[in-house]
Amino acid sequence: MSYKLQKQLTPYLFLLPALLFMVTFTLYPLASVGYLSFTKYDILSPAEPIGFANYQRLLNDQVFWTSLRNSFTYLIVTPVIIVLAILLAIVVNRKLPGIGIFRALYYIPVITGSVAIGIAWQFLFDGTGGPVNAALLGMGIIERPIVFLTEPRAILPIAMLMTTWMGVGYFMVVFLAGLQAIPEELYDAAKMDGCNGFQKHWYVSVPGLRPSIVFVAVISSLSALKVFDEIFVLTNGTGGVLNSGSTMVFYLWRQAFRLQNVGYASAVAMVLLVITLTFSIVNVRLLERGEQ
Amino acid sequence: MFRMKIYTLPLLLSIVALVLAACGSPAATPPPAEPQVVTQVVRETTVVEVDRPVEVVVTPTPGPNPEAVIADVEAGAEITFWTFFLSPTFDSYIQDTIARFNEAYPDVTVKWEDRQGTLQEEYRNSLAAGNAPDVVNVPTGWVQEFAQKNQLLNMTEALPTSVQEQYFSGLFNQASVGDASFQVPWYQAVDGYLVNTQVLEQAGLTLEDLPTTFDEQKTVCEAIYAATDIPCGLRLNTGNLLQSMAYEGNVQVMNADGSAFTFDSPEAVSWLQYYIDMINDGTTARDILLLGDADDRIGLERFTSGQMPFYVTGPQLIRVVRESNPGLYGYLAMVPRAVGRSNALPPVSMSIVVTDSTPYPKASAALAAFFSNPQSMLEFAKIVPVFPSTPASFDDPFFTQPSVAIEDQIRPLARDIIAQQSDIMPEIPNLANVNDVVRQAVEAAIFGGIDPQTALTNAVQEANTLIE
Repeated sequence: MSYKLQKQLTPYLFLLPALLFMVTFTLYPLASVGYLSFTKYDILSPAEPIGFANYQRLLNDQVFWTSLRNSFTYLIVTPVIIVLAILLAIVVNRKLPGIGIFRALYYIPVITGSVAIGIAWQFLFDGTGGPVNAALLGMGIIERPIVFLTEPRAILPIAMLMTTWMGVGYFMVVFLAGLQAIPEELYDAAKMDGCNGFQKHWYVSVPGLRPSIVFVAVISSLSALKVFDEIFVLTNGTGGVLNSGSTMVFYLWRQAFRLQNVGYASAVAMVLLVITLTFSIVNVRLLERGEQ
Repeated sequence: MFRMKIYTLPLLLSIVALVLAACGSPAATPPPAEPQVVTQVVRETTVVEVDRPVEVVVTPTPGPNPEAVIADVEAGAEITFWTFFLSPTFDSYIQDTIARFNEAYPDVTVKWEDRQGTLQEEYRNSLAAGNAPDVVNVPTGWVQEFAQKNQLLNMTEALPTSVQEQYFSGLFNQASVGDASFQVPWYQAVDGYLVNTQVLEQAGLTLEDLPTTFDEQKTVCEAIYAATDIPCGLRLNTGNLLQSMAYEGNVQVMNADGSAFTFDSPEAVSWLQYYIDMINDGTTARDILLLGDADDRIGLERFTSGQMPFYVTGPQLIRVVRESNPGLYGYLAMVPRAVGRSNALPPVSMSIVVTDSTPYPKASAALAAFFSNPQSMLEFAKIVPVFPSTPASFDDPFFTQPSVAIEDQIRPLARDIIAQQSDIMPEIPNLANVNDVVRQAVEAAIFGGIDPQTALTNAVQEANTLIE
């Protein structure tokens, strides 16, 4: 082999292991799901090609549309989590005695298993002896306990609240790192210009955190679209009364692994892929524009 | 033997003589001789039979093991056995039973693994991957799914009739597909009312006042709620709502030839209205009513916290109450549950199935039959309040001893209750998807305010499209 050829091949050989990994664990499964979405497949019987029937079925499937709507509704979590995480980051970005303990406390939900958190939240909203009911009864707001987790209108907000609580600590750390990268001179200048506390953060911190905000927006919106654990645990795997808590990923899981409609679930997965891909592209464009 | 030897030699000599005489050439026959009279001494012998012990040296060989009921088991078979939620509590029992199995079938090796909440998915995936275990313990409700897709060994063909007959009639053939059984019934739960007598007392009721019929159940729950503000915890298994309809509501869920669903009949509407009324009146808990088949313990936890007058469960779960709330244990009682409008009780059964693709069908069938034989079942029942699927096990005095513990109160009645259990369900095609349609209809009617007749009629139309 000539030296020139060797030189040309070397970078590709370095890329090969990662490429093989990606082909095996990303591209092949993706292609398989794409193929299965055009079949009728129940895991136990061979896949049977049925053309676009699964996609046609999606159009008339009310539960799919409910799940899609719920997934988009779940995106409300993203701005809420950004605002809360920035506020928390500003609060803990001070040199106070014991501030490290507070930072650690806010981070605990991030390292706690989502199933454990889900069970704790089930207890919080329990319909007989839960603390939330006890508080509402104690304040005289309600006369009888509310069985929150069987109320179709309550499931999704509770799950979103739980996601926010679980994620805010992680994003707080991201914003904290961003805040600490902002030069102190900018705050001094703002102070000299007469900015009060709020204005100082509005005009200095927030613009300085822009790259972090875009990053958090991308990550948290993708997570929101793919939410599953919270719904599964809070509804005991049912998706909630009248499918009120069903999201795209939950519906996909239910179709594939509860009802054995793997072909149909693959079609749902392909739709989800298109949505998340679109989101990713839009977010990356925003990120690039921010950097410019 | 002795007598035979005495007669054998003259007999052979006579035969040889006759043969020689017959074969002789006529040309060589000498002329007949003149008769002569001679005197001979004849010694007469008699045979005297005497039994006397004789010491002999023999190589000992075992007799047939009475528990080895399957012939021609594959020598050198290595089979994998999955159980469901039995480890670590019952490790000793399982290991001892496998050891006994190895005495009956010494050439078979059993590798036992316990699976928990993901058993159904794991078994399904292993079948798809071609590495399924040979023998699996599954809830009986799962059998049809796998049998309809030709994944299970036909036990009607694999087991001798004598083995099939060792089970309660009705249990071997429950969950059949076509005319064949694809499971052997393992341990049975006898569901009854686990009663919190404190709540009952608060309501001014006694155990004798507890309902014996489905319709009485509603009345009793109303009375308890009115007196104590504590709702009942009735539960519909969202994993098989059609079964609840059939047993509780006497609903014919399919027509006779299985070509269409019929669960929108007046009986079905009345059954659904029963629960709508109870939810609206608050006489049964909203969050317990519709739970999956793996969520029995959610209701049990509520009962354990003392917030339920009674709960339909098996005595095997009383230990959970005892461990979680020892203070309540002394106030528990176990009585038979109400019978539905069908006058039949559903079997609450665990099954053992054999994977159709196993390379060792005989060894696997032998293991399934062994774990569910009368002796194995009896030994299991002695360590946990479950009941045998084999009537012969109940002949043991263990089942007739007076009960002391609360867990054992239903034991003397168990044989009769199991004998009354019958599978009245037709074979439901595409059960999981049909059931999901029914679940949505039931939820829409109970929680969504949809008219029950409309909800069920729409569901029937949708379910009929799932019949292939």
